[in-house]
Amino acid sequence: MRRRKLLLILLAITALTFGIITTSYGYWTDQLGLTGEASFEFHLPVVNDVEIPPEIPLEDLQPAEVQSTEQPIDTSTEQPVDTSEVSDQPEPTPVISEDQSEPTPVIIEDHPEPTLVRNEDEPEPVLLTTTEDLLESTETETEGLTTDESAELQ
Amino acid sequence: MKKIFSKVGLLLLSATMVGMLGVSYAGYTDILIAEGELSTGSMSFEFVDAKKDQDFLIGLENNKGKFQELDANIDFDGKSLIITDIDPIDIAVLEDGKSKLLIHYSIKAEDEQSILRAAMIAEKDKRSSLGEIPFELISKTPQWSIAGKSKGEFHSWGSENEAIETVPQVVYDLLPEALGSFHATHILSVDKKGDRMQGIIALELKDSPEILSIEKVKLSEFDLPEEVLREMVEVKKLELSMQGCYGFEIPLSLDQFNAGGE
Repeated sequence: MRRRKLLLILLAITALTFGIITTSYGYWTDQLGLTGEASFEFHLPVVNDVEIPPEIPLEDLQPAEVQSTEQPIDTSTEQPVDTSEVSDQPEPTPVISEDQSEPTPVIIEDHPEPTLVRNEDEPEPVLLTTTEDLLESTETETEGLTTDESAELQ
Repeated sequence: MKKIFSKVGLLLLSATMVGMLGVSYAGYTDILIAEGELSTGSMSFEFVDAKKDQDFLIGLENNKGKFQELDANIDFDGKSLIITDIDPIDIAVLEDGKSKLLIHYSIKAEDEQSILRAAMIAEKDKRSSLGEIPFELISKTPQWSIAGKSKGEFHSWGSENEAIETVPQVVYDLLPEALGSFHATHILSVDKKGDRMQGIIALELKDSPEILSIEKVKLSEFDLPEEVLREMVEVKKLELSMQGCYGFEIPLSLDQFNAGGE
């Protein structure tokens, strides 16, 4: 009981002392405030990395030039072309030499080899006749056929 | 004779003598009543009129001590001073402590009962340091422009161009949210008249913002309209200018505890 009283007295004295000190400090100090806004500038060099093609009015262009400026056709997105439709380019025909006993297909170098143009997503088109098929057919049927007839098989 | 010095006679004589003493004392004295109040002093300062006394100044001071004043709008309300619309400051000027931003102000006691002076603060005093003051971006839409010269003529494209509707994202990305650390020092002294005190706050950029280390920006990053890019083709040296508004707050603590140095 005594201790409790003593503790209470001590606490009261501490609080009172703190209050007195705070009040007296307040008398001898003062606080002012300064607020503001300031604009700051930043400068940086700019590299002109943009390339713009020169503007040419369409009226000045000749018809041939207009054609040349047209966008090239992107064949990668086109549907696969059936080889049977490529009729302009003559298909390489195997030429059987008379000297050789076994005829071998010879591709004429002057003519470009026809290539299949197809979309990657599309299934691979099946060739109707391959070189191997040609060879096999020539092996089995050469004896009774002439060169012209074997060419017709292709 | 016995009758004269009887008991009654003596009583009357003594009463007369006391009366006469009183009269004679009153003849030589006077009573005045003085009334007054005594109270302890307190510190209470306020900022004083700038327009009248020109006690407020804001400017840049370089290493050689040359001071360049900046235009600003200064408003004050007792214990707070508000500075706005300061002329734009090129951050490169403050880089590496080349220059300092100085704010001059003046204060005086709020009333006659206040203590007239606070403790003075000298330049080399420990109390002169106010620590680091943050400067934080407050404007949401920064001002920007790309400028250059072509055939002797100055050309500029940016916030003021109608063709450019929005601020490019790269400008937002480049503009720092906070400037590097500004170290503030405070000096306080009594003015010549002795009735007020003058203070100087110096702000020095210690750590530069990262943007100062960037060497160049690519034009393609701005996503400008083609018509603007066509206009820029012939301009050789292009330079980007960005302007951001930054807010700051500086508390000033004045005291009398260390008044010994006065």
